[in-house]
Amino acid sequence: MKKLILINSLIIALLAIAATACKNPVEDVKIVVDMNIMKYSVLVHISDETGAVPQNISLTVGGNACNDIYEISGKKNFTVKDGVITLGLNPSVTPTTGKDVSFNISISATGYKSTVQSISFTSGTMQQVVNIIMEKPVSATAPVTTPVTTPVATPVTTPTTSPATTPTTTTVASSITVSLDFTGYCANRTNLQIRPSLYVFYREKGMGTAYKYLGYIKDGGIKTDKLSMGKTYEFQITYAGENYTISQLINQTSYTETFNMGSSVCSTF
Amino acid sequence: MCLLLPVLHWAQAQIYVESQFVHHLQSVNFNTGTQGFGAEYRYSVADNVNLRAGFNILPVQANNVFQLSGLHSTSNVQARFTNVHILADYTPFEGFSFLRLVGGAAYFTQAKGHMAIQPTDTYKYGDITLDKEQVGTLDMDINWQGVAPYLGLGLFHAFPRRTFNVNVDLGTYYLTQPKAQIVGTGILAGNSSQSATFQKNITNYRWYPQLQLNFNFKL
Repeated sequence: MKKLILINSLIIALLAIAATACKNPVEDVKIVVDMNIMKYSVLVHISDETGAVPQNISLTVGGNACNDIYEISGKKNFTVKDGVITLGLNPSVTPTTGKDVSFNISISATGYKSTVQSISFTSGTMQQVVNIIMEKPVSATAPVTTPVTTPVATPVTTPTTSPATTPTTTTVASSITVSLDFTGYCANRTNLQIRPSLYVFYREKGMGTAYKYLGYIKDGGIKTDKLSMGKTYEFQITYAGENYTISQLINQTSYTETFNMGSSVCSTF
Repeated sequence: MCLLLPVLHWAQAQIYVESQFVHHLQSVNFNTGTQGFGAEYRYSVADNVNLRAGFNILPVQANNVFQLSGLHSTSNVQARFTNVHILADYTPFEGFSFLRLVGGAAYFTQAKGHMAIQPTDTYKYGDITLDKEQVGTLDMDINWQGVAPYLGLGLFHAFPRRTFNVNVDLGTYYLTQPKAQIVGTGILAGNSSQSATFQKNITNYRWYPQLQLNFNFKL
């Protein structure tokens, strides 16, 4: 009997040792989903000659590849928010050398001439920025449509594969290279993280200036030398007809920013 | 078994020389248990001490053993543990000759766990339906390769009284600190950022418990 008790005690002790630290290996492991689904995208930035954003902008997509063009959230709702919209190419379609994917956007706004802009996705140029300057009609009569064949003003097109350079000139007193990591979350899905791939604008907080183009966030990250130490900036991302703004005081060279991705994207995953 | 042959020859030579003084028992066993299956050669160096050397192989594969929260998926788990080991059995109490303290070490030439997770839902991004390649997969790998000490108990007699017996090993290896990583593809490519959390969760996954049945044949 003593032998059995001894054996049982030893077995229990050994099992107790072996059973320690059995933590769930995937505890707190988030599911990270990339938003970089539409590899080819274009940021369309609409303003007038003074830099003001026209009101009630309406945008429609036409041309050969119009069926493969989506708003960057993957929807066919082309809502322009504060003069900004990002369009993406269906991921099942890829431009090849000598075979661009082209489409037109028609833009109208109250008090401005309507305009049509031709846009092409070419092989290897994943991101581009198209600034469109809306013109007021000469007379105060009804708006006039500019022919599609003459997109005279293509103010800035910035094709890049890395964080895009700004189309406008920015003078910064003491610029540094700052690394910004953006992580999107969904309020209703705490186990989900989203790595945005989007175009971002910025402005110095409290200055009342217009947002300027900062660059392209690729897989959640962007590096920029357009920011100055000791200043607070507002960063704005626009998709699905909504703006998402984050403020950050810059006093170091690396930041991780989190923001609520909103229902348009969160309901997708 | 090839690794055991030189040991066997050496042991036989020792017996030939010393058999007049000490009765050196020998046995071979084939075993099965939580470290898979394997074989050992056992040699008594004293009345209450014997040594053994052997190997074990554990190939395991299982499907859908766990789910990641928030992701409808199928999972496939594979584990492969291969070791060569040297153990010493010591019988501390003559009155409890059925009980042995066992200590030693193994070199795990392979000690890998691999989990592959394939999302099962049809995923749509807005109005765009993503195919399987676009959605991608998650691969989670753990590696414990290296030297691991062993401590345990041997239950029942080490050597058969006649030609055959069965005994039991109960103990645990203490594996090297595991290295873990997550690799994703498609829209899951960003999950490598979760490797640190995964690594932290399994930091204490170092105890490799052994419950092993040995089928011993006296030589």
